Amino acid sequence: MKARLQTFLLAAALLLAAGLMPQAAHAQTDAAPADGTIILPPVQPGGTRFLTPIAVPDTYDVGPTDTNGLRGQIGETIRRCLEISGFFNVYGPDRFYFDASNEGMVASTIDFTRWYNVGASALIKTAFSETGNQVSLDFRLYNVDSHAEIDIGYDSGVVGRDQVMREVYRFVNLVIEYYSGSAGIFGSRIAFTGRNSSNMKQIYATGMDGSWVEAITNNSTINLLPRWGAGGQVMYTSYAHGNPDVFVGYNNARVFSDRPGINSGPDVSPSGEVAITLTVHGNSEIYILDATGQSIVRRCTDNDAEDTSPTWSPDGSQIAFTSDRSGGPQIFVMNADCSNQHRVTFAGAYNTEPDWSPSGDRIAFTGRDSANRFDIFTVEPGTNYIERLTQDQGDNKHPSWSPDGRYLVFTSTRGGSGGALYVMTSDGQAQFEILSGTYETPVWER
Amino acid sequence: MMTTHATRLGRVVAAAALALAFAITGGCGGKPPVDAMESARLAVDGALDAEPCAPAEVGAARNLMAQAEAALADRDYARARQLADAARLQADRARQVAIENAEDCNRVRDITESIVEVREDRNAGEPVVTNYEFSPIYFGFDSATLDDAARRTLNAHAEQLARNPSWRTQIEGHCDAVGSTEYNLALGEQRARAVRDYLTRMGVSADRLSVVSYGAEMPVSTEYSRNRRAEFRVRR
Repeated sequence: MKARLQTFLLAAALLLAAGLMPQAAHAQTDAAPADGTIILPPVQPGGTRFLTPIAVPDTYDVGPTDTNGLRGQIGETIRRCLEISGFFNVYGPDRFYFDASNEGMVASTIDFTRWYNVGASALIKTAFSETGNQVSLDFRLYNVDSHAEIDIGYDSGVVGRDQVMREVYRFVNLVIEYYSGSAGIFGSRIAFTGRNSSNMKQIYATGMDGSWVEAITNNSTINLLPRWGAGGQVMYTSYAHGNPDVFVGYNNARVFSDRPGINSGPDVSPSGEVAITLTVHGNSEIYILDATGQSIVRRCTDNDAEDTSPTWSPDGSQIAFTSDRSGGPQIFVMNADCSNQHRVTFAGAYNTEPDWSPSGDRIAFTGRDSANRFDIFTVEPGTNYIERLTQDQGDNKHPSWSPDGRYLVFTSTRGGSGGALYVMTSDGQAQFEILSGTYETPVWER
Repeated sequence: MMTTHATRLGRVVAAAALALAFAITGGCGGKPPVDAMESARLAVDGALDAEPCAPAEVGAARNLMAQAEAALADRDYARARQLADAARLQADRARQVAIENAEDCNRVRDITESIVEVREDRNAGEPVVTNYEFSPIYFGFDSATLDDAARRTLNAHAEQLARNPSWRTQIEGHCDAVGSTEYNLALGEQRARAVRDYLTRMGVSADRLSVVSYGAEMPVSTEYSRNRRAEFRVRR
């Protein structure tokens, strides 16, 4: 955050010196400058993230057998999650020059000098034993320098077999909290679009580490643009009834909005109102529906342009959206009562897919740069300052903030992928593939 | 018509019989009638053009010629010569009849051909009308504007819809894969609506036209420009 702020101030100073301060551009009318005359910025060289070196040896199986493969699963999941979190250099068994399996769980049995020599400043020890359907877990975090166990508030205990991964995420989240100041968010869900075995686009959900995938729909039509609705239900556009309608829940359980024309991209406000794109009265406009979707509370836009993709500010006072009223699509912001509609992106000619951050200070979006590549950017709605988060790594699209605002999930074609799911830290410095394949429009449950 | 035919056929038969009688009385045997046969073959071949306007006469000549050839093969040279001469005379007669009949014959032929043409037209025409292909129209990048080519295609579509008032069509708007899913959904709808509005201005009743956008979800080509299109799903 601090590094980014410094970067911003530096960039602002440079721009000011050049007479190109973003506010100066913003002071002009919404129609100027012409699209494409100002190019989207490159990634700014930022400060290097400090990564805590942490060793995570394999899990001890102190029981008679490992019938469910938990031994590998627990250690692998912890290593993968810590890596994706962007706060650690994770050292696994391939980095150890000794057999770590002859150590115990308690400090007196651990040779901390060896772990120090590996380069680790932190050490995670895990053990389990299975008895029937019950699993006894023992997860511990050690400070290598002080040879002391660190109390992160995790109480090991006995859980059901199906609760083991939830416990692993709980432990990892507490480790992340200890080192970063706030808890990790492993266990949160990400909905996205993929294709089923019949090559039809369906809605799925996965976790932040991509370790599981659940089908939300499995029908014989096109399903698009998932969003998270009330009660953790997924909302999405589906052609199940021949028209792009919005449904809620598994397998088109309930129609939310099936007005004639497009129904897409519902976004639920803190108070439960739903911003949505409809073409019921003409071309695509943004409307506010009540929580049930049955009645239109108000219509926000009324023009010949395409207005789509509304996203609420976290306090529900404003809505960002995409509009091509000034030429190509750009990011606009308006008040919740639809007043004061104004453009906030003044660089690039094709900016879409806004998502307002949980902290409220940034709106992530997909921008098409001067080389016609798509990348992830953020814009500060107050200053219109644009920051670039991805560059020169395929096409990167559809950012969605994590519930804690420290991460973004997006799709990327880097490495020849058709559109894998990636998670990156909000400064863009740590980026990891969480699910390989060809996917679209991931959205994080918040 | 029937009467005319019967009368003519009677004349043909009588002429053939006369020729035959003449051939028999004036005939001489011994050597193959090479010259008579060759003359008859040329005459009959030459009369084939007359067949459309003197079919019975030409048919009789051909028949006599076949009998002459058979007699020749049987080495019945006298009979062969008689039949060959009869065939030659009949062929000459056929050509004469064809010339006499030419006016009527050609008029009938013209009428018949025109009926065939009309029938063919209708046969070709029925499929052309019912199978009229409502070809897609194409758009520029990030555009829902109808260019001249699109308008020309839509003019033809509008004409077909005007001729077939029972037809209804759904206009599907499509986009290339560039850009966002939701923006493309909106753009596809804008394209479909632009087409609907144009067809309406061309006189097609709006209640016969519906629109749906598939955004970038149903590409038909790896070429982006072929995917920026509107398609027509017509219920005939």
